[in-house]
Formats: sequence, C-alpha cells, structure tokens
Amino acid sequence: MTAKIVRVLLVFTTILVLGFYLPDLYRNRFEKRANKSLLYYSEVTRDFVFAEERYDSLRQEVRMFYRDRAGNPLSETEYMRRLPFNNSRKLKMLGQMPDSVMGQPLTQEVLRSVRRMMLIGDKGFEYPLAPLFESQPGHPGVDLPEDLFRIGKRGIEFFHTTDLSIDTAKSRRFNEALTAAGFRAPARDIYGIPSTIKSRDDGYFIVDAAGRLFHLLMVHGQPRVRAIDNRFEIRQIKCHVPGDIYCHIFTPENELYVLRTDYSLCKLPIGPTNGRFMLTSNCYFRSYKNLGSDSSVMYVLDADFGRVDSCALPVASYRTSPQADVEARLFPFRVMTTPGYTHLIPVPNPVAKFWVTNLCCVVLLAGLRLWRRVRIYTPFQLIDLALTAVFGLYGLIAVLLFPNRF
Amino acid sequence: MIIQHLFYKEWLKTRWTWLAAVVLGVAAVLYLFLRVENGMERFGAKIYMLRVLYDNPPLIYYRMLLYVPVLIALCVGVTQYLPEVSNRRIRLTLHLPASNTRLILGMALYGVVMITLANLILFGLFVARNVALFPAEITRPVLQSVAPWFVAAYPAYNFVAMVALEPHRWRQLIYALVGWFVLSPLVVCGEAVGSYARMIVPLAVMAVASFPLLLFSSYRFSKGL
Repeated sequence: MTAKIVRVLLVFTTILVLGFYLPDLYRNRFEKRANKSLLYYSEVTRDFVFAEERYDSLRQEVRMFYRDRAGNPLSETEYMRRLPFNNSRKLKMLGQMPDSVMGQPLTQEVLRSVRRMMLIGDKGFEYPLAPLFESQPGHPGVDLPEDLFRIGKRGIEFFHTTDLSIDTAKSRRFNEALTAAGFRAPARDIYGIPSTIKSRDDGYFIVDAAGRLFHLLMVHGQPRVRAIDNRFEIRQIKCHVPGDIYCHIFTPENELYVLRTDYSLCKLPIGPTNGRFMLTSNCYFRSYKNLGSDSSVMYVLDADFGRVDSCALPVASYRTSPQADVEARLFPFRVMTTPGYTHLIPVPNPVAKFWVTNLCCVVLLAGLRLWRRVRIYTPFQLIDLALTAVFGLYGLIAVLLFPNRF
Repeated sequence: MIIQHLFYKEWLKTRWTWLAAVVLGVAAVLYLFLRVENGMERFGAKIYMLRVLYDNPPLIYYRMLLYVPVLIALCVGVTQYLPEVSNRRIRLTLHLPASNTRLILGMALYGVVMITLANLILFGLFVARNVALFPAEITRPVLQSVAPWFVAAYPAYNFVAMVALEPHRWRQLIYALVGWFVLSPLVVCGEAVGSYARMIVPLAVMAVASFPLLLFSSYRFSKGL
C-alpha cells in the first residue's frame, strides 16, 4: 500500500517535470521567428512610418518593406530620409542628409541629443547600499567616495568598506538634513545611478517610510535634501544621466510621471499601459513605445510632454500562431521560470482545448490496460486514469513510465 | 534500539567519506573567502562590494559553493547504498526483526541527519565569514541566493537512494533522469544577488515529498521485481 502511494507521488513529480520540459521542447522545435514590424515617428514629415519584414516570393528571401501611415510604399532611401536621427551615418554616406529639420540646422550637437532607453515599471532588485558621489567635484565626471551609505531604521549611515565602521559625524550631519526636510526612516527604496561612468552626479531619489519622495545630493561634502511633492504611490523609478529630466516614475497602476530638473512633476498623457516602454527622445520629440505581446503603441510627446500623436501597430507573436494553437491543444499547463527571479510558475492553459487530447490519452491508457488484461476498476488504476484525464499527455507518459505493477 | 544499531552500521560505512566531503566543503568555503579577501585587497573593498551589487553580470563570489552541498549528499548516498546493493547485502538488513519500511526509513533518516550536519557546518562557516567581510545589505541577499543550494541536497540524496535501491537498470536510468530534470532547473546561479530566494519553497516541498520515494524502490527490491 505504502509503495503504491509513493508511486502516485513519483508519477505526480514526473508530471511536474514534464510540464516544465515538454512545452519548452515543443516551442524550441516549432516556434518560428516572427516577422519584424517596426514603427517610428518621423521628425521630417511629423507622421509615422512603418517598416515590415515580409517574405518576397519572387526573390525567395525575407525583405524589408517600408510605408507611410496612409499605406503608400516608400523606398529605402526615402524611409531613411524621413528618419535622419536613426540613419544619419548612411544618409551622410549617400549625401542625402537633410540640412535642417523643423527649421533647425541638424548640427552634430542636435544629432547627439538622441537618447534611447528601456523603461520598465516592474520592481527589480534594488539594493539599499550605494555610494553618495560629490555632485560638484570641480571637474567633469564623478569620483568614487571612500564610503557607502544605507538608510535603515537609525536613519542614514555612512560606513567605511574596509572595516565596516560607521562614520558617525557624517551620518549625523546627513541625518539632520534629512529630518529637517521631513524624511521618515527607514527608506523604502533608493534609486539612482551608482556608477562613475557619468558626466555629472544627480544624487539619489529616496522613498521614505511614508512613501514621500526626497532628492539627496552631496555638494562640497554637505547634504542637500529636497522634498518632492508626490501625491501618488511610487512603484519604480528609472533615473537618467544628466539632462533636462531627473527620472521617470511609475505608479502601481503603470501611470508614468516625469520629474523635471526644476522638481516639477508631470504626468505623461499616455493611455493605460503594461509598464514596458522603449523611450526614444531627441530635441524635438519624445516617443514612448509601449511594448505589448500583441501590439506596440507609440505615444509621441513634444519637448514639454504635450501629446502630439499616437499609433498602434499589431505585432506578430507566437501566441497567435498555429503552432501555439496546437500547443494549447496538447498541454494542459506548463511550468515556467521567470528570468532573474527564477521562481517556478505553473501556468494553466486557459483555453481548455486540451480536453480532446486528454480524452484520447485516457482511452489509450484504458485500452492498454484492457489489452494486458488488467482490471481497471481497482482504486490505484482509477487514480492513474484520473491523473491522465486531468494532466493529459503528461499523465499518460508518467503513468506508463512507472507501471502500477506490484 | 534497532534503529540505533542501524545508525551505527551506517556510520561505519559512511564516516570517512562524509568526513572527507565535509573537509573538502570547508576547504571550498575557506578558499572562496580567500579569493574574496584577495579581490578586496587588489580592487578595494568598496569597488568589490559595488561589483557584487551592481555589475552586469554581477560578481558572484559564492559561485564555487553551487554544487558542494549536492555533492556531499551524493557522497553520503552512494557510500550508504552502493555497498548494500552491490552484493545485495541489504537483504540481511531487511531480515532484521523490524518492518522493512521502518528499516529503510531509518537508513534514509541517518542520511538526512548527516547531510543536515554537513549543511550546518558549511552554512555556518559561510555566514560567519560573510558577516565579517560584508555589510548586512549584501549578506542577506547572498544568503537568500545560497540557501536553495543547501536545501537541494535533500532531494538529491533521496533520488540517489531511490536509484540505488531499484533492482532494474533501465528503471534506475529513468529515476536518475527524473531526479536530474527535477533538480537541474532549481540549482542555478548567475543572476543578481538575491535571486533564487523563491526556489527555497519548491525545493523544500520537493525535499519532503521525495523522502518516501526510496520506499518504492525498496519494496520492488524486497519483492524481487
């Protein structure tokens, strides 16, 4: 009896293992590379342009096709001319680089104003330990300080890394400045760029125990603290290298705010999003491309964060492919790991198309048992059939791997 | 009383291998921190700490520890069960005046106790050295990343015992494959400090759930299937 119960346990373990590996194996074998669909905003025409990868049956190869918003086809050169910031090198080689855009000469400085970055609203690993750089060191760049800081229940503490001893005088000085600004320890989160590879230091943005946002800087060795009037919950902050804004702030509802260098907060006029953006900015426009699994939506804002335009582009994804449909019919669930955190998530198949496969598996198992003249009405044989009915292919394989014979 | 004798028998079989494995494990931990101290000396402690936290990919100074607890579990499991099954000597044990289930679980319990002792020694040493060199803000996430590797030793041992007691070769292969595929996605390294903390729960569940697995093999062994 004990051995039979243990066998069920073993079968169940095998089902989980198969739920991890079989869908993965299937995808690796059958998933096809989706054709690329790209969406850009042209500073020249002030409209969207599209680039799509299609199979050219005449040449028997995958080619890029370009079009404008109205669907008119564009040549590659025309496409590049409409996006001078993205294609400056090629346009210069072709001698087709425009002299000016929107009445402003396209100087090297203007071309260098392009910034591209990912903005992700999900919480990552934030470490409550960082170096506080001198913000005005008297030379370009930053110097790594001798100590690191943390903000625990006792407030801010600077400690030497060699012997982990606390610099009490400096800690007291900074604590007094933080308390005077209304900061309540401990810090909930500390955001900044703890790297020396930047032209200037903009300090750290600290969310205190009450959820209020503070900006902490060190200027000539002295603290400079500024309370920021945030009237919303903060989930994530993405700080930027020195420019006209300090950071982007995500709320738990994936609303996006911008903190300007004059400490004014601006809520971005963009629709409900999933909190995953590709941001491209230059001195004319800022485009926030919200990356969804089935579509990309680009919101174009002007330099003052006013909405200029928006456009959605459907994206070919595995989820809508015939292979995914077959996968949904084969597997009742899959166990996956999340990158970075790597914890296991059983993902049930919500479509429930797999019942046909499960039924076939049950019939097959019952047939095999009857063919071998095994009585299928015993409790443990019925458990096998039930496991196969619920877990389909996984159940059938696991049950056959560990036969119910004692 | 018979369980005490059983424990003594298991101790006689495994003592030298266990001691050697623990000594090597301790040496691995000490060597690991020797390298940390050397790294701190060469690059400076603050740069070393910042590399641990913010480098991409991060500096994972504790990577050497990844398979050590699992290897200790394998050593204990192999030395405990291989001599028993190689000449089918375990039949003598199974004829002792106690139920087979009790005897087999007693043997497994001995293995679990020895692995726990080894884990305590290595984990304690790792914590002590880590606390001496790093602040709590680094020690805490590092321990969260390392803890699943120690928990993984238990299901590894249980699968070794199950494979060893299985009388049929091809079934041994299947059990070993199941064990490998169960553990390989869980015993991992390479992501940021603090990753994998949530592996502890599935691994702990697996450790508890896999404990009685060897009863299945032992039943088949005693029945001569």
